[in-house]
Amino acid sequence: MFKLRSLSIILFFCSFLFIIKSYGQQNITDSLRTVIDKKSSDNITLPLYYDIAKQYYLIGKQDSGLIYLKKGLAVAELTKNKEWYCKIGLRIGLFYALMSDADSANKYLEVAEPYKMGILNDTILAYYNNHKAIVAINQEDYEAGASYTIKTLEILEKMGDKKIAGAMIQNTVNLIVCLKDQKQFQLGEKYLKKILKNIDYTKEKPQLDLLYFNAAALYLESKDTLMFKQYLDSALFYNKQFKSYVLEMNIKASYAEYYFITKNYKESYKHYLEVYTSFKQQNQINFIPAVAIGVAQALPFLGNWEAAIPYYQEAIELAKKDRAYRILTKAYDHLNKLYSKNMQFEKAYEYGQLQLQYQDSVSNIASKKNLQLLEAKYQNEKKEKEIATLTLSNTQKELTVLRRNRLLAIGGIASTALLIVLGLFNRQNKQKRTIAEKDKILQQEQIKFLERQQQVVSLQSMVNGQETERTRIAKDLHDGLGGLFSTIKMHFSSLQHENENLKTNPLFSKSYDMVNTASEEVRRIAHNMMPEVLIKLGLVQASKELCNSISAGKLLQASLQSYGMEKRLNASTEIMLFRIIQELLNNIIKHANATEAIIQFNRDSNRLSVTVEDNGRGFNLKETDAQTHAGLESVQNRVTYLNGKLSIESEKEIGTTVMMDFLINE
Amino acid sequence: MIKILIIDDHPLVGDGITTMLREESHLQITGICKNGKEALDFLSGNQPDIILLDINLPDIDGLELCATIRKTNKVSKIIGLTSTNEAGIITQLLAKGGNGYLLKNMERSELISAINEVLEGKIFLSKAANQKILEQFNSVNHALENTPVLTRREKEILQLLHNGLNGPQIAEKLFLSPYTIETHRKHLMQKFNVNTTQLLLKNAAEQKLI
Repeated sequence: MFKLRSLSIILFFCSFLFIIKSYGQQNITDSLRTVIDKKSSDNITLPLYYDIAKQYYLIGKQDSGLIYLKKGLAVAELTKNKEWYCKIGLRIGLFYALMSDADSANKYLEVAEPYKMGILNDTILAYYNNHKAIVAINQEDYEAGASYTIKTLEILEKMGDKKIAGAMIQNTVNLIVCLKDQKQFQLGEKYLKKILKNIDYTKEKPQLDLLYFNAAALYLESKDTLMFKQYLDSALFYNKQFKSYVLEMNIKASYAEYYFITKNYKESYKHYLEVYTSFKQQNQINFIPAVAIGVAQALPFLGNWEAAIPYYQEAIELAKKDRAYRILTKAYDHLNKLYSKNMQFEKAYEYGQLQLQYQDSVSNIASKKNLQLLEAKYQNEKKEKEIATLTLSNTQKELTVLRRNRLLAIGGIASTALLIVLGLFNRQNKQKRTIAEKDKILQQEQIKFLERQQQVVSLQSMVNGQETERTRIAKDLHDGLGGLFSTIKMHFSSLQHENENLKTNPLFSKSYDMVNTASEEVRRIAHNMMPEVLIKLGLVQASKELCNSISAGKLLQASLQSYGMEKRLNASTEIMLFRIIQELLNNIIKHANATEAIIQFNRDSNRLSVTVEDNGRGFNLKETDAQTHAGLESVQNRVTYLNGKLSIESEKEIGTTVMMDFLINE
Repeated sequence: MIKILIIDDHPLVGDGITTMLREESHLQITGICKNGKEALDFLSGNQPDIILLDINLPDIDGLELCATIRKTNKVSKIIGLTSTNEAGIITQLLAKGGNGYLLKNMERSELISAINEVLEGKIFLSKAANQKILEQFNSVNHALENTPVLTRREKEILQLLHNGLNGPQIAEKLFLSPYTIETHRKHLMQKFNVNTTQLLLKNAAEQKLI
């Protein structure tokens, strides 16, 4: 019977390819490495570690790839990038699996198990199950391999992506390998037919030869020589298209096996020898034992049984190194039969014993799992028993305690009741006291709050009252005194017109002028108190006129700019802001010695900022004289009153900028 | 005969005007109203040639009253009468259909020429009002120059933006909070009437501010 244990290597190679796009070139590896060594941000380097390892794998340097993967894993752990930690961990597991280090492989696969980490990304889950299957197959645990592969296929099928058709084929191949070993031929056939039905033949599928080859192997195992030959022919056909050396040799070996089964020993020997020689040349050591047995098995039928011995011995030696127990037992089995056929019973016995010994170790692997299961069951039972005995003794103890306690309980209850009553009484007292204290604090705070509120209200009413008062006085001045003076002036004017002599009367002229001056003065005072334009047309217009009248004096050029001020603010806010601007301009005129001043309103929805800037001599905020200080303080008070924020920047000989920000509530 | 209506809540003012006009036989004062309501009642049955209207009335704002009268009466000439001399109010009055503007402490001659000129279809402004309007006109001219006036900070920030710094970098350089810088930047964009920094820099460069 022919078996290629090392065939799994090809499977892994291809399975690996399904995960990664293949552009394996040395220079890509180099450029990727430069990027990583530059230490760019982790989110970029993580995929790079992944890619560089892939590149190393493709050029056959798994060790170097592993180093980068481990670096990547450390980075992912440091940056707590769960998904990449999982991906890289799985990849490390795969690398170890490919290097036949099952323990390390399992360790990393366990560390990065996506189910445990809560990463339920289909691609990652497919990787995990695929890698687990590969490790299992590599350890010849085909049962586990089959179950992991079936899971992988389920996930892939669920994803239903056209791009993963290759992956479907790979994993079906893996599954067939496993099922073949488990002698589940019908099931294997079922999966084979399923995948064959779905293959898109219009696209080149390099894995097709592999699939047909394994299908052939399945039929070989089930002793269906006809199907074996048929699939082998297909495998050869596709292999000629895609040219994979190892597979080509394996197909050739299978033909050799076919000839052996059909008793064409000469052809079988010829083919096996060809493959054997080629593998030797290419130094494909792990394939040699199986092929060597193939060469050897035909020789006795060609009448040269002794020539078979060295091939068997080579196979045994290599298989031992590789721990390929199935091949080893096969070689021992063949030797046993060969020697007994040729009457060398001592040697036959020796190999028979060896065969049995290794047969044991083969079945050991299979039985190990069973044993573990039994052990687990036993442990479980033991635990349950322990729990049962514990519960029993506990119940007994409780019973005795209960009896004793019943007596104590009566006395206990009475004293506890007393204690509770006392305690409650005490607590109530205490509670009363704390409540009273808290009440007191609360009351004090309430008082404080009310006081503060009162302050605000009184300030508000004071300010408002002040402005109302000003408005009233201004109006009275305008209408009362102003009107009176105006009328006097009208009368004087009429008088002068009606009596020409009065023009030369100096006393009349003087009185006329004085009345004029008085009426102007009243108008000025009233205006300063409350400009009519502020009430009638608003803040911007009033400020503009303020600037204009200042600029008319030629000493200071004041200009105003307003943005977003089309809508008027509420009256009291406008008055308040106007007072602030009046005060700041007053300060500039009196103290700054400036030639230019800018007033600026910027309103953006409910935010208003007001800037007043001059190019005067500036001042040090800490050394302001009392007058400036008083002026600034009144500005600060008004800004605070409007819930605004004030910032003053002043630089000597450059000027002062006052910026105020307000939130306008409407 | 030219009919004149005086609308003023101050009794003395009506008195004064009557005195000033008593020698002008072709001018006849046909009514004196104390408030807006009275005036509107009067005007519903009369159409004077001249209305002397006080801007400050106890019930209706004088500017509004002017507009209301103009809605139904396109003939009567309205001369605003006030003790305040504020450019904004003068322009508003003219915008709302007034024909002239007089300060209450006017000379007799000024009143006569105002009446004559508005009757001829001219706009009359008292000398002092003229001055105010000119002041405003100067500042309007200034605004028409189209180049926004920038504060020192704004100039500084504009330059730094031009140098390629971003908000936080400018904040660090000027020891200000990024929020303040953001406010200044917003103001600049508002001034140049643009909504991106790129456009702001482009416009500023065009106006030779950077």
